[in-house]
Amino acid sequence: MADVSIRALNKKYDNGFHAVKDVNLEIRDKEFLVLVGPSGCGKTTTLRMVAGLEEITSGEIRIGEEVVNDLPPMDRNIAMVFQNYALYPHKTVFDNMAFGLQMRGYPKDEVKKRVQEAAEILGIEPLLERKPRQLSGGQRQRVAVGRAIVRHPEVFLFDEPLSNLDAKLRVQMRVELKRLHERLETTAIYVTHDQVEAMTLGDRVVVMKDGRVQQVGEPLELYGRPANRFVAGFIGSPAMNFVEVSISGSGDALWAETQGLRVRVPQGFSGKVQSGQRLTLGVRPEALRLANGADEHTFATAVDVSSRSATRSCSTSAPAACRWWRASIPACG
Amino acid sequence: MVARVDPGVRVKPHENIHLALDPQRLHFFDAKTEAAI
Repeated sequence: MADVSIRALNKKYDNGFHAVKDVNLEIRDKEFLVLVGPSGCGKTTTLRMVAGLEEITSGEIRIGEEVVNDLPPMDRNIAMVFQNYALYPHKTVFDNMAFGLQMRGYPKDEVKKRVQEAAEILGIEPLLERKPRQLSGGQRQRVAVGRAIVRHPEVFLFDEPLSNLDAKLRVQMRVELKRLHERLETTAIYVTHDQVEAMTLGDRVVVMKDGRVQQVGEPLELYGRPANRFVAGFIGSPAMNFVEVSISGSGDALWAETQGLRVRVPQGFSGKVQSGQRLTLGVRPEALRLANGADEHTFATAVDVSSRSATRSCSTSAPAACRWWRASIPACG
Repeated sequence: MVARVDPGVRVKPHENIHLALDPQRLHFFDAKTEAAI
């Protein structure tokens, strides 16, 4: 068990690309921390630097009490699970899981005991004599996780481990990984581009963009109090709506306006918002409801499209400032 | 703009409606820095 400390971490490649910029993170012992962001945001590079697979340009990485900047991956007491499983095709499941321990010189009995334990935890005991090609995607991923478990590492590192699975299996494996973490209580750092996965798995979530940390917080904190427009738009599905507005009025009676939309600025923003300012108003889809009539928090519009899939959705003719409005109506709550 | 509303509500294309914003759940962002206010 260990906490992980990342201080002023930078990665700059020879071609000048600055992939990770001044990242500071304190990952608590036993915590499940998720790094999330769009492609190229620096999340995988950060993880690979923790693993020792990528050299750091500057900064410090500490696992437990030890600074690991110059330690090779095998000496960091971490175990990594990759997106592509990285299984040896010619080895059986047992041998894939045992290989890392055998290379470290563990006694045969200990290797067998650890592999059996991990196989039991993951429900893959009947698969131990099979080769990877004889396994489904989900089974292969379990083996990859098993190979990490047998190491009894201080920290698990997951690099988009569920990305190659179909949607149904991905959801199932998410639950399994969460259960596994609760059982093993090992610090975990998990990288994904999928915000739903991040919000489901993470004790805390780190949102990254362009190599920088945008916000660190518990899932509901990111959803309810996003630090900036990027986080607000990235977290939540369907995504938050944004409208450019001007602030008018005076004192406590301030209004956010654009053509076709005029809403009263809530009291909570008094002193932070002034008349004449141009701001971006953010509204989550679930913060909108159909109203019976007009008041200071309503606006008129017309439905453009109504559709039903997992959700039923409608789009409407818009206030002139917006091209169109769309209302998504969940079929099942 | 997307709205998620009560599943029991029936709306048709081209129907005129009023949408209400929950004032406790509005967010404002600085237009330049994009930081939350």
